[in-house]
Amino acid sequence: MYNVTRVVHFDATADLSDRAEYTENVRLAVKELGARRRLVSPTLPGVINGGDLLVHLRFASADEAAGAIETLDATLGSPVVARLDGVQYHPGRAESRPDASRTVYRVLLLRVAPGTPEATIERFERDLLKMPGYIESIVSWRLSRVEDSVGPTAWTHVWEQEFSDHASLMGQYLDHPIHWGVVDRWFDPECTEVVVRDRVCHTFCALDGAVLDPGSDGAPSD
Amino acid sequence: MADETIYVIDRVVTKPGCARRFVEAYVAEYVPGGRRRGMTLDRILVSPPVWFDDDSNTVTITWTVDGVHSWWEMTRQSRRDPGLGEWWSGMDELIVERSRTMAAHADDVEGLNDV
Repeated sequence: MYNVTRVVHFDATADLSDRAEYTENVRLAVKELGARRRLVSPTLPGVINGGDLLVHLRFASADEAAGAIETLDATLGSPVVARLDGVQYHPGRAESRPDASRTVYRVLLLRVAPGTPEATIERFERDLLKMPGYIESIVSWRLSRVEDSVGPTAWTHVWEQEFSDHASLMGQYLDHPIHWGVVDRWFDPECTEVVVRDRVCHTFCALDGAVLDPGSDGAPSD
Repeated sequence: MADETIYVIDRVVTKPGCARRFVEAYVAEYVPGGRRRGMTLDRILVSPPVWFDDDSNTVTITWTVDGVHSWWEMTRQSRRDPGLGEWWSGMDELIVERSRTMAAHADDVEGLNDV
């Protein structure tokens, strides 16, 4: 599998009509790209540097994606768009609580500082992966290293989760000590462990179905 | 979840003979900003309690923050201030190693995890 994610930041001058028309055009266009799974959805309140529209496509392979990416980015380019952030990656292993319902898909794009030792990066990744063990509203999760990045920041990692609900993402996820007492030190410039110094892209949208389930390679959904 | 007290703990091992200079700089230059960001200075401990000229001291500084919401507000403010990283870098000449950790009373751990 090979995944392509884009975060669309609308220009401030784009009105509701512009945004709706753009979103519909993108929805129609991505249906023609041959993706095995597709998600095109406006972001929800609470994103931080998270844009206005989230586009996530899953292809069978990098080769299959290669032909579609140029068309995708041409489609996404528009006078109503101020900026795109994006990543392409072979997905890491997804894990899931099989029977739990999920309503929100969340993506964190981050950049580990260049020169960070591999052993340190692996410790950081292990800490991120501890979070679902303590935060039960994370019902599916996947951490992947980025292979190609779009936009002003050279993203290195994509940390995806499906949450049971928006309130838990805004509450339980921030409130649990595994977040502020353990994981956040990697993002805090006052902590010696800091490896993420660039602003992150914390974005999420409503989810109909599943993006991350290990066995969710079924029919496209948008 | 109630507003349990969260402790922000700086543990600093100073270079030989540098502990007093570090504490004076911390109190004069760091503490006012920490208070502005919503932290309350709990205590500054020096171990051993001797201003060594030829050995290291361990300085343990403890701040408190009232609840998780205040903690996030504090850290969001610190992240917008590039001067903080510069201040710590400026202290490198006085420091062997340091850490910042978060803690809570043992009696509060259960409540903090019940979110």
